[in-house]
Amino acid sequence: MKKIAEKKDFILFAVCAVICYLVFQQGDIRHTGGCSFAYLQGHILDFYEWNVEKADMYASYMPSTYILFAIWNIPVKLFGILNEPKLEVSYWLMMYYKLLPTLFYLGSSVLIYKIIKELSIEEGRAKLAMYAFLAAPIGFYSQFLFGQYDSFTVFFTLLGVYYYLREDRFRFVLFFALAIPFKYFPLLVFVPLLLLKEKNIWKIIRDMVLVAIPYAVELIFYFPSEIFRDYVLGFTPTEYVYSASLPTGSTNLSLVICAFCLICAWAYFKNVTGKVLFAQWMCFFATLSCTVIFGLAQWHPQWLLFAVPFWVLGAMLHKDTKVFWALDVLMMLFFCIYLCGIYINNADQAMFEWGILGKNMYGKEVMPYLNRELRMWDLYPLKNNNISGTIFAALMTVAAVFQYPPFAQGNLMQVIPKGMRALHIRFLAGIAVFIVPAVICYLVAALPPYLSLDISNGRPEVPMIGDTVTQVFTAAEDDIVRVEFYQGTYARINTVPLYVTISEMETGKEITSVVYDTSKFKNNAWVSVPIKEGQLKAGTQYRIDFVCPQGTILNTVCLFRTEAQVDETTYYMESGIAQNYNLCIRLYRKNRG
Amino acid sequence: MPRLWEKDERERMNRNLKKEFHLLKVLKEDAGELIRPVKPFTVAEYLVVLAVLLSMLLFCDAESLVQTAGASFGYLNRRFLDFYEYGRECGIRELSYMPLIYVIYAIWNLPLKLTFLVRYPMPEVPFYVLLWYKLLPTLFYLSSAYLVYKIACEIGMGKKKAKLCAAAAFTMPVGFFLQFSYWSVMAIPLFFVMLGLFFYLRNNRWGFVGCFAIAIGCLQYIWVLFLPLLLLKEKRLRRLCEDIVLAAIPFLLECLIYQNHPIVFQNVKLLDINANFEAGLNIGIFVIQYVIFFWILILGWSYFTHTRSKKELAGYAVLFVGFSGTVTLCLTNWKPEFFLLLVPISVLGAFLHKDIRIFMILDIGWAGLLAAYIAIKRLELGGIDMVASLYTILLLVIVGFKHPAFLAEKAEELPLICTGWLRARFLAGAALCVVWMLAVMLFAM
Repeated sequence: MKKIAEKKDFILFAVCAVICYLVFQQGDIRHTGGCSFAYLQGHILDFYEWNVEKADMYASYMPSTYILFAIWNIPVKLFGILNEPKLEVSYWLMMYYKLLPTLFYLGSSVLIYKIIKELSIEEGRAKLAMYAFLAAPIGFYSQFLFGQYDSFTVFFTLLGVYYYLREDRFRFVLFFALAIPFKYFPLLVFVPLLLLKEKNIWKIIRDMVLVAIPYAVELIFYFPSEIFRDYVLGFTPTEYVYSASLPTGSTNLSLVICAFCLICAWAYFKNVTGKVLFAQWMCFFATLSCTVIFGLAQWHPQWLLFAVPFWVLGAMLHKDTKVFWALDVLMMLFFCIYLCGIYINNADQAMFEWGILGKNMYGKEVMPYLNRELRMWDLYPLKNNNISGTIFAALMTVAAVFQYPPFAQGNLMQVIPKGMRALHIRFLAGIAVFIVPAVICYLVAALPPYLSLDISNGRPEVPMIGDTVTQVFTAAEDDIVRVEFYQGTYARINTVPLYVTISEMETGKEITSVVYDTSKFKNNAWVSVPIKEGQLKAGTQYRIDFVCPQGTILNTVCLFRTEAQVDETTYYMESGIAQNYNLCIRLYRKNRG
Repeated sequence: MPRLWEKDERERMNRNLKKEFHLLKVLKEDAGELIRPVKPFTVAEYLVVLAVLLSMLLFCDAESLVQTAGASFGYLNRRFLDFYEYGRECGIRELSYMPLIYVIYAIWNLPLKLTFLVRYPMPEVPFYVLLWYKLLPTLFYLSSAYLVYKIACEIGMGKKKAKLCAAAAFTMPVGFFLQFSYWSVMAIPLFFVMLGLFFYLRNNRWGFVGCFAIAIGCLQYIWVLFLPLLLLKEKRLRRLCEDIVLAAIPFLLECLIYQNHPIVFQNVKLLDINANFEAGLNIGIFVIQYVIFFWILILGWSYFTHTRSKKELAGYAVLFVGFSGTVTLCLTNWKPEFFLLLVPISVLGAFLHKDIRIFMILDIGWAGLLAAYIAIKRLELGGIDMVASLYTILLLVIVGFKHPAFLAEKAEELPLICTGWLRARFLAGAALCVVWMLAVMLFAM
C-alpha cells in the first residue's frame, strides 16, 4: 500500500477538479470580475461610482480584490472581449475569471507542502499534506464548485505563516498585511500568532500598526466615496460577529469578540520552545480562532476555505491524523445539509446554472425546471437547520479543541499507514455528499415529466374539516400526466380518508377520483393524483375537489394555500365562492415546453 | 478561667490524638490494608430493605408498567406486524417503546397466557397480574446490582468492596425511588447496559457490542451511552464503523419490519427524550443547540482520551457516560425514569473515588431534588426552574468530580466512614419511597 501522493493521485484529483470547475459555478464572480474593468478603464479614484454608473454594480470589497482581477483581465481588455464593467458575460469569460482564484488555490497547496517541509518533517508527509489540502472536501467545494475568490486571502495568509515559521518577521507581517484587505479573516489568525511569538509590547504594537497599513491606505484613498462607505464599510456580513451575544441588561457582550480576546490572551501567556511544537500551537490557535468566527457567527459557504489550511496542517501535525480526515467527511456532510437548507436555490443545485450544463447546450431546456422540481434540500433527510448547524459547529469545535498540542504529541516522522487510501475516501466521499444529490436534482429536472403549473410556497391554512374545498385551474397542455397537492399532517398520524376528485368545471364530467388513506401521508409533503395523458385538454378549466367528511380538528390533514392569485382562471373556491388565492398544486406534463 | 482553659487543653489533646490516629491510618492504608473489616449489613437492615421493597411491590401504583406489559400480549396473540395498531385497538394508550421491550415482556407473560389468566392487551389488570408485571423489572434491577458486583470485582475492588458497591447500587435512593415508585421498564435496557459494560471491561468486544445492541433495540436512547464508551476504547476507524453497524442491527431490523407502520414512529420519539432541543445559543441565522453541541464534544473527548489501565478505563467510562447522560437528559424535556440508566454507573464511579462518603451524601440530594421536580410538575406548583437548575448542577458535580484525576490510588481502598452514610442514604431513599407511595395513595383517595 503506497503511503505518499503520487502522480496518478494528482491526476485523479485533476480530473474531478476540471469536471467540477466546468460544471458548477455560483454567480457572484461575474460581479467581482466584471467590476474590475473599471480600473482598466482608468477609473481609479471613482472606481465604486463608475461601476454603479456604468453597470449598476455596487462593489462591496476593498480594492485589493478588484485590482488583482483587473491585472488578470488585462488580456481580456487587450483582445477586446470585454471593455467595461458588465455583469452578464459569456460562460468562457466567467471560467477565465474562475481560473485566477483557482491558481491561487493551487499555489496555496504548494505553500502547505513548503510549510510541512520547513518543519523538517519527511517528504512523504509533506506531499500528503499538499494532497490533503487540495482534496479537502470543504475547500474543494469552495473553489471548484462555488468558485469564489477566498483563495487570494488564503494564499497570502499561508505565505505569512510560512515566513512566520521561518522566523522572517518582516515577510510574516508583510504577507498578512496583504491578505487582510481581501477578507478580514487573516486578522483573526495574525493577532494570536503574533502574540504567541512576540512578548515585547512595543514590538507587538509596531507589528499591529504595520499589518494595518495596506488596509489603511486603501481606506484613506476611498473614504471620500459615499458608495465605498455604504457598501464596503457598511458590508452587512461584518455585523455577524455581534449575533451571538450575552445580554447583560445594559449591553450585549459579543461572544465572538470575547472568545477571540481569550484566545489572544492565552497565546500571549504561552511560551513554547521547539519548532514543531511551536507549529502545533500555531495551528491550534488558528483553528480555535476559525472555530470562534465560523462557529459563533453566521458564515457564507465559501468563507470556510480560510479554515481549511489550518485544519489540514493541524491534522498533519497530530498523531491521530486520520481521525481528522474522517471528521472532514462528517463536516462536509453537515456543511452541505446546512447550506442547502439556508442558501436554497443559490449555493446548491442552482450552481448548475452558471456551469457548462446550465445556460449552454442542453442546459437551456433544463434550467426552467432545475430549481423548481427537486432541490437538494428535499433529498437530505435532516430538515432542521438548527440541528445541522449545531452539529457542524460542534464538529468544527472538536476539530479545533483536540488539536491541543499535548494531545497531538507522537512520532511525526512515522508514515501514516494507508494514508493515501484514507485521503481518497475522504475526497471522494466528501465531494459525493454534494455532487450526487446535485446530479439527481439535475436529472429530475432534465427528465420527464416536466412542470407545467407550479403553485408552491404556501402556508397550512386549509384544515380539512367537513366542507368541500376546491381549486380551479386551466390545463395549459394536452399531455398533463400528474397533479400534485401539498398537505401537512400536523406532525401526527391521521386516520380519516381524504376524497379527491378532478372534474371539468363547465360540464361537471369526472376525470378521476381517488380516496387517500391519510395515515400514509408524510407531514408537509406533496401528494400525487395520477392522471393519464390526454385526460386533461389544453385550454379547458378543471376543478379539484377535496373533502374529508370524517375530519375533526384532532384527526385531519391540512392543505397549504398561497397568498396571491396566479391568474383569473386559477383560483381557490370555498363554499362555491371564488377566493383570490390558491391551494398549492403542481401540474406535470410529459413533454418539455 | 481555669475550667475553660482545661476544656481547651482537653480539646487540643483530642485533636492531637485524632491527628496521630489519622497518620496511623494513612500509614496502614499505604501498606495496602484496611484498618478494620467493613461491617456487613445486619439482619435488621436486610429486613428494612425487604419490607420497603415488599410494600412497594404490593401497594405502589404502576400504570405505565400495566400499559407496557399489557401491550406485549399482542405478540402472544401473533399480531406481529400490526402490534401497535392492535394495542391501540385494545385500549392501550401508551405504546412508547421499541418492539424489543414488548418482545421481552411477551416472553415473561407466557405463563399468564398459557394459564388463560390474561388473553389480550388489557389497560387494567387484577392485583396478582400487576404483581407479576412488576416482578420482571425488579428481577432485572436486582440482576443489574449483581452485575455491579461483577464489574467492581473486574475493576479490582476486591470482593468486600464490590459487595458493598452492589448494595449501594441497589439501595441508591434515586434508583430505588425510580424503580419501585415509578415502575418503568428502564431496568430492562439497564440490565443489558450493565452486562455490556461488564464485557467492555473484560475486553470482550462481541459481548459488549451485542449487549448494547439489545439495549439499543429496547431503547434508542442507549446510543447516547454506547458511543462515548466505544470511542473511548476503539480508536481504529474501521472497527468503529463495524461496531456501530453491529450495534444498530436490532434497531434497524425493528425499523425495517415496522417501516410501513408510522404509528411506531409517532409513538417512539427520536432518542426517546421528546427530542426537544430548545436550549441553545442564537447566533443569528440558526440556534446552536446545547444538547447536540456538548454531546458531540463529549464524543470527541472520549475519542481523544487514551487510557493506560483498567481502573482508568473504568473511571473515564463512568465520566463520559455520566456527562453524556447529564447533558442529554438535563438539557431537554425531562423524562425522570431515564435517570435510572445512570444509577449503577454513578455508584461504580463513587466507589472508585477517594472520597466515597461525599457521593453518598450527594445521592440523597439527587433523589430529593428529583422527587421535588416530579411533585412540582404533577401538582403544577411554582419553583420548578430553581429545582431543575439545582438538580442539573448537582448532577454535573456528581459526574464531573468523578474525573479519573480524583480517583483513589488503589481500587480496593475503602474508607470506613462511607458505610454509615450508606445506611443513612438508603434510609433517606426508603423514606422518600414510602412518603411518595402514601402521597399517591392519598391523592388517589
